Amino acid sequence: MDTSLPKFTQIQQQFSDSLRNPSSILSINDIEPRRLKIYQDLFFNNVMSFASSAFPVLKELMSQNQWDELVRDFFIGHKCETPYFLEISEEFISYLEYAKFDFLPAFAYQLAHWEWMELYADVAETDDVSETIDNLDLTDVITTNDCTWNVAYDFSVHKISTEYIPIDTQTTFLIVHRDDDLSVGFIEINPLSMLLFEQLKSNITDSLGTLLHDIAEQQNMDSHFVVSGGLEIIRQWGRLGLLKPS
Amino acid sequence: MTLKGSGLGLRREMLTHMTVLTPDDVDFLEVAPENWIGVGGRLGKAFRQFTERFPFACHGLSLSIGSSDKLDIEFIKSVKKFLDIHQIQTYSEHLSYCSHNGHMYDLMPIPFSLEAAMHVANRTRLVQDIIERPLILENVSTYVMLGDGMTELEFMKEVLQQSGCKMLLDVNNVYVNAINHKFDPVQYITSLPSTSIEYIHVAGHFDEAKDLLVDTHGADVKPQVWELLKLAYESHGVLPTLLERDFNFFEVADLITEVDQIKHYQREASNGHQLA
Repeated sequence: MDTSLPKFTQIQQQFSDSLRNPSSILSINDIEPRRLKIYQDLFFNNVMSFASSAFPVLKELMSQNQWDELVRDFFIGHKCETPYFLEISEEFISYLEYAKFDFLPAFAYQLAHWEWMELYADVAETDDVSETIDNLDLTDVITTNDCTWNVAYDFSVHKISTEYIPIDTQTTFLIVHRDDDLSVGFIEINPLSMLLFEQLKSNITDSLGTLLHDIAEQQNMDSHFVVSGGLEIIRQWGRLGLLKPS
Repeated sequence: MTLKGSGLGLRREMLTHMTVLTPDDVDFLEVAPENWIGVGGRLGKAFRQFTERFPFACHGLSLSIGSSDKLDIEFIKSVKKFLDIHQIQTYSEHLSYCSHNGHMYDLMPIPFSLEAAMHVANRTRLVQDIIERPLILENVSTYVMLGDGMTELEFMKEVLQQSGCKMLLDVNNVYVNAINHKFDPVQYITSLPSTSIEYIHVAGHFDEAKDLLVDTHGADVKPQVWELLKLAYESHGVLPTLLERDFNFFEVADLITEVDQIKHYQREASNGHQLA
């Protein structure tokens, strides 16, 4: 204990340590164990309920003891910076990226990220709302709206459950979208569509025709194939409400 | 807009059930800004439908005014922006701390000392400068006493005096702490400076043991706590009063019954004041 600190700070240090880690030795005199235990239980159950409600799939893949151990390790070892309760899940993901437990599957971090992504798409504050666009043409100048998000994972995280536990990696591209009724959905896409989506996302002035020709050139692919196939996909995305005029 | 009458806490989990509420049921609603800042989508839309219909108070959770960690200035600015956007005048927080080397997301008891009171008062003045409103600090429930030469009442009065902030009087927390730490709740309430008290919270608690109560917001308000509410009205006037109830109820109608109880005591106290 740093005795140069104000006395109340020293007490706060000891008290908070004893809540994070109940097995640490508390040297504050005169605290009844049953009173301290009320705090220890309240704090841990609170963090536990945030983690369990944000990551139900990850939790289900472990035993209760393993899940308790993981959340306790997070509570002891990870310094949470965010004052926002919805962002505790982001703190947990940052922790998970470096967490080391034998029982953690290789995909744990990416699965947690996916579970967070679905929640984030539900609550994020965006400027745009989803609107359907029909009959898109190669002369249209189009970009993605900001209530769609594209993500890539090394595992097919969107399929993971107690029934399906991936053993091998499988590169997976997903678009998460918030629809005009504000519900959230997702679609799985292939690598070329992912490239197309990213080009659209950063597009300001190019027509769809120019954009598709450029992709064909970059990828050294047949431009007729890319333009006709690409336009078909873009029209689907327009009908799904993922796009807006640039 | 300043608060009037009776209020109810609004939580995300209860949002769909609470849409039936009308201004006849309840005069104002209260939210934790931490749960709504930066929230859009269906939740953000539902929230706006409430702010368009009801006056609001904000009751924060993460300011950590008593902490030894640095104040999060960016966060306080976001709170100020949120209050301005939704035209909310009332911002209350807890005379407590919820972080030490990082956030812990629940309330810890400040070790009461003059040094700690000065620390809180300095931080409170800084917060008030940023939010351009009085900070309203609530007396919190505690289960251990880490006091270092001061009582809770002395500490509260010292902070009010040093910082010029306001107080949110939680009569349930007074009762809980009076049992947990063996002091006289009547003397506590009547000793507070009337001009500092901005509004009142009332809630239920859980009896862990005869000498240990826990503030759960998960039960009906106890008769002893209603008595303290009446006493607060007698001592400090009929102040806006909010029911905190987070879980363990079947229908919103059950909450309205308790809000009606608040209204009843408010009318009774106003009539008493007029007669006196």
